[in-house]
Amino acid sequence: MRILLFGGFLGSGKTSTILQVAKQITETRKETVALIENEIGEAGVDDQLFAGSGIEVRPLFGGCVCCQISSDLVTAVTEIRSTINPDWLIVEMTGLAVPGNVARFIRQYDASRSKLRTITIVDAGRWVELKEVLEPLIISQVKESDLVIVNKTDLAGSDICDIIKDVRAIVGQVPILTASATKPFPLALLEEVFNLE
Amino acid sequence: MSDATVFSRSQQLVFEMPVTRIDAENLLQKMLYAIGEQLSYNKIILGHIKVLARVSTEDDYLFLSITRLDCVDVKPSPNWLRASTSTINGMELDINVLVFGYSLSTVEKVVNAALRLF
Repeated sequence: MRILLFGGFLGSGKTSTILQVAKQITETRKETVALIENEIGEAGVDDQLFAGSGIEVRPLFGGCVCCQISSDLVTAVTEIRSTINPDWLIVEMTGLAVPGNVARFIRQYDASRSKLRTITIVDAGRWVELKEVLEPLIISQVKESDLVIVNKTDLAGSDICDIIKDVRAIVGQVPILTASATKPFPLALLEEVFNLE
Repeated sequence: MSDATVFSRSQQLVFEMPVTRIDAENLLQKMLYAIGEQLSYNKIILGHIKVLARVSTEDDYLFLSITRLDCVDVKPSPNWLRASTSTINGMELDINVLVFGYSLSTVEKVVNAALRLF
């Protein structure tokens, strides 16, 4: 079982990205996938979007896996491995989680040492404002990613080059790919997500 | 800036007269915009506002979200889409607002005002 951790600020497009990635896993790669969905708030909203997608979904409510319920996450990972043991486990973090922290936690406590990749989705349409007001959180979410997808480039206009430059300054040599909110992700982008070697 | 405000509510709506799903969708879009407008910064939301509107039958729902004022994102389930011109008597709303910069009482007030659209 290999693990894909998806992070990124609230509303950046994590769920839409995961739906495309999961479809690629099941329909093109003919492999199996399960999902841990972490949402903040008493009413789960996103998990309904996975209904009918053929993905085994394990919701985690009541807090953020990054800080409040991190042990619940490790329990869920262990349980999924011992019951379903899919080829891929996708973890959708809340939009407030710091993916690097969650990855460190799983690497430390997941006894089976699954291969793991951290993918952070950046909302290009709100990058300037989010960085202006919430800079420490936004930077910590992007830092320590293994792959960054700059999403909603169609909403960024002429700022897109500056946004990519900003992200590059944070992540160094980590791959940065771009995607539009209005078009399906290109195959090359989806394949890069699975690049765990 | 301090922590995000988390607001969740499930709300049952019963209409006085049946409305088409298209009309319900328009009202829901207006509701999201009305919430977003009051909780925005420079025309974007420092967080997200999401609503799941469900009618009684299975897999019959509409998902709406807003992160910027120029766009309300709408995702209908296949069943909702298929029956778009048929009428409904009510729906169950799951409202989820996560936003920086506004207190819980403000968010609650804004959501309550927006719900009066129905």
